[in-house]
This record gives sequence, C-alpha cells and structure tokens, in this order.
Amino acid sequence: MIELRNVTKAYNGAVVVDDVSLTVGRGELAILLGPSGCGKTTTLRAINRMLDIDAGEVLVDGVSVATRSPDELRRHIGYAIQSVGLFPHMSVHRNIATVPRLLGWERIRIDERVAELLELVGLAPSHADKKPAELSGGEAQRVGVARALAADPPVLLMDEPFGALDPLNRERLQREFAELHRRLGKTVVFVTHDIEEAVLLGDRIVLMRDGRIVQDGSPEDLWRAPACDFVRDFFGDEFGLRILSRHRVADLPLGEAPEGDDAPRVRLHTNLRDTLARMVTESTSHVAVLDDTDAVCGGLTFGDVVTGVRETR
Amino acid sequence: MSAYEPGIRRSWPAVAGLTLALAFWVLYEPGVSAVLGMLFPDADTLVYERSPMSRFAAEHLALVMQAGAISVAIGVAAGLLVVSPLGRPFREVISRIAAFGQAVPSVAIMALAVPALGYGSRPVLLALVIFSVLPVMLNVVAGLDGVPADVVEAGKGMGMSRSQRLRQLEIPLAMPVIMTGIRTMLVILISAATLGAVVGAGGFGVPIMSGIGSFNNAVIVHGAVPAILLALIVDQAL
Repeated sequence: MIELRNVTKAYNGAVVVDDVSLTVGRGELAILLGPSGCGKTTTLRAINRMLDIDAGEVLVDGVSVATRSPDELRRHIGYAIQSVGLFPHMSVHRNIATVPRLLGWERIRIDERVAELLELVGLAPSHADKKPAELSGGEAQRVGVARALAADPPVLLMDEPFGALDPLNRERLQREFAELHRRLGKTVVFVTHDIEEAVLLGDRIVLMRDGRIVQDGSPEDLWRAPACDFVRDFFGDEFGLRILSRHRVADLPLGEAPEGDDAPRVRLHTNLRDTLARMVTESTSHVAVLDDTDAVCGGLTFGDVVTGVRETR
Repeated sequence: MSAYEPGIRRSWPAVAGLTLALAFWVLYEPGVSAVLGMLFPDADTLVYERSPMSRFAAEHLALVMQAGAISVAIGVAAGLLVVSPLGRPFREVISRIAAFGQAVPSVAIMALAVPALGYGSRPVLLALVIFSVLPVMLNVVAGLDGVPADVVEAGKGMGMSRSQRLRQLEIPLAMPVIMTGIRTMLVILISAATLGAVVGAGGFGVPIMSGIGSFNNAVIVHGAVPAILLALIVDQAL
C-alpha cells in the first residue's frame, strides 16, 4: 500500500507538487494522468525517494520512506521509465538480474528468475544473451518491465513505460501489462499523459493539474461526473467512446433480436465501442447478439449502447 | 559491434609484426648495422656501441611504465574527483592546472628538478607525469560525461549505490574513451621519455643525444627507430 500525505515539492520557489494526498491500496493500479508539468512524475519520484519532498509524508506499507535508506528502499520498489535505461554493456540476462544481484541472490535462483521473467513478458529464452542494442523498441520495453519485476517487489512505479513505442506495439504491451497486473496483483502507480492508455489500463485515474489532484476515481466516475470544466475539456468528447471500449455487450440488458438472418452479429464479450463501430460499418442501428454457443440470445440497438453505458458500473 | 566494445581498431597482426621488428632492432645488432649501412653509406659509425640497445629498451620501458602508471592513477583520480558532486566546483581549476602542466616544456622541468631530485630517472618521471596527466584526466571526464543519463538514472532507481553506479555503469561505459586517453598518453610518453637522456635517465634518448653530439645521423636513427616502433605497438595494442 502506498500513502501520500500532504506531499509538497518546490523547485527554485516554483511549487510543482502542492499538498497532494493519495492512497493506493494493495494490488491497485492507479494512473497519474495529466498534461506535462502537472507534477505527476514528481509525485511518482517522491515515492521511491528519487527526490526528497519539502513537506508531507510518503508511506509504503505503513512505513515512512524518509526513515529508510534510499538505495535499500528502491531495491524493494520496481521502477520502469520511458527511456528504459537498459545497461548497454550488459546482456539482457544481466540487466534483468540487476536488483536480485544487489540483494545478493544465489546464482541459480537468479537464472531461474530471469528465465521465468522472460517468459512472463513474452520473450524467447534466447534473448537472455543479447545486448540491448540488438533489441527492438518493444523488446527493450519488455526487458525494462521484466527488470522492474525481477525481485518480485510488491510495489511498481512506472513512468510512461510505453511512451516511446509505435502505436501498434504500445497497445499490445498495454494489454499485456493489464493482463500481467491482473495476474500478479502488484500495487502499481503508473504515470502517463496518454488518455487512451489511462482509460485502457486504469481502474483508477488520478487526474492532476498544476501540482494538485483535480479528480480521483474510476474512468466512469470522471466521465459521468467531471469535477470541473478542466476534467471535461481534458478528456474531450472522445472520452465517451473510450469508456465504451471498457464495457462489453454482456454488461447491458439485452433487448429483442432484429428480424431476419442477415442482421449484423456481435458476441457477448465484444466491447461496446466495437459494437458501435459495427453498427456504423453496417449502417444499421440494431444488431443481434450471439452467446458462446453461437445461438442468438438477444439484440442491441444504437440507443441501448449510447445510453446504457451511463448506467453500467 | 556496438560503441561500448573497446578495441575496434586493434590489429593483432600489426602488433605482432611491429613487435618482431622491435625485437630485431633491439637484439640483433649485426642486422641493424647492415640496415643503417644501406641508409647511411658514408657514416663512420653506424650504431651506438658503448651500451647494448637492450639496456636502453629496458630503461625506456621502465620510465614509460612507471610514469604511465602514476599518470593513470592521478589522471583517473582527478577525473573522478571533478565529476563527483564534491569536486565539481574545482573542475575548472583542476582542468587549468592540468593544461598548464602540458604547456610547460618537459625538458625544462627535468633540468629544474635535478637539484632537488638528483640525476637519473626521478626528475624525468616528475616531468613525464606532469606532462601526461592531462589527456588521461580529460578523457576520464569526457567518458563519464558521455554516459547516457537515463542509464545512470535507471541504476539509481533500482537501488544501486553511488559507488555501484560508478563501478558497474559509469566506468565501464566510459572505458573506451578513457582507454583512448591512456593510449594517447602512452604514445606521447614514449616520445617524450627520449629527453630523459639529458639528465642521465637512460633510454632510447641516449643514442639519439649521442648522435646529435657527434653529428652522426645513423646513430640518431639507431635510437629513434625503436622509440617509434614502441609507440606504434602501444597505439595498436591498446
């Protein structure tokens, strides 16, 4: 669990983080989102003492980080940054083994852990002996994530870890990371300025502006009840479409199936954004829904989709 | 393959060839006489005869290796100091002192140091070290400055201590540049060490000075060639 209490940080008299309080529960993935210069990275770096705060307190699992040595603290908190910062003179194996080595693990245990992590992030075992210069951007980011996870830290800090990737790779890694988070149950604080990424990954979005938290809640909360015009403007009209992508056909009460056999069909697990796209593509406002046995189990209209999502959890 | 693998320019066949040539020149005087005889048919003396070349080679190597070791120690220490948070304020001052050291003529330092240190290798070592610290230090600084900031940042973020970052990240990544400095330093040392003969430190400078004194170009070349070969070997091998 991570707890920030009234954290304030100023550089040369300019306050970049202003009285921020935030609690991230065990196993939760919280997105720090906001325009550049809003203080999200500074807030993140206060957690593992990459910088020291001027006022307030940061607690990790109930212990104030100020009472721990920075090096020792950081060895127990995973940290991944946008530029990855892989060590260019070391093999992938050696890069991933960084924190386990610092913690004095035995060689056999390290080798096993590296093999396990390569598989976890979707890299072939043969990557272990490669140098970072031989990796693609996506592979390097995967190694960066594996390195951050190496000593199995309960807490993970990520600063735009997929920011430097092309859109295709970025989305793939985002989805894989979301899945990884579900499986591993780490407490994650994830900094991004990318709304799409925030909505895709986050069950909880902490929107920041000028060093302060503007609103803190689920993407649905921020969409349905924006705290102020800034929230509405920041997310824009696209926000509704992005919310649709978080929900599936099964989340809505189904209506009558359309008449006839040639109506477009979607499945129960199809997300609502894709369902809407299907309606637009097929120029129809009514689709049939198939269950897992490919039998028609109901229908969904354009109206169901655009109004129904307001009521879903 | 990558920029972080030093020694791209190293050529072992060249090193082997040059080493053979040096061994020939130092150890096989009849052969050297024959070569110099072809180059200087009118010379009355072809080689320096009062001492064997192997002695000068040993003296020269000893001078260069001692001065080089001291220079590396001081240059690396000074370079690490001025990039550390503690020494950063002194960066400008220390760089200027090192630059001044290279500007002062070595021969003058040797001569001026003789009253205090006596004849022999000690004044020469002093002059050579003062002369050669700068390239080592500058390259240590340049090498460390060139280490990508995000690499060091990542190391810090994973809990590497200041000295672990230095030993495991910064120094290895700066090594190619540092080695360039050491190579440059050794090459100029090998050449500068010939001046040691002026104050009785021996080395390849002895035949060169003797040849200058007796207006005998063959003897000058007899001493100059092994110094050149040694410098080329060091340049290729490091």
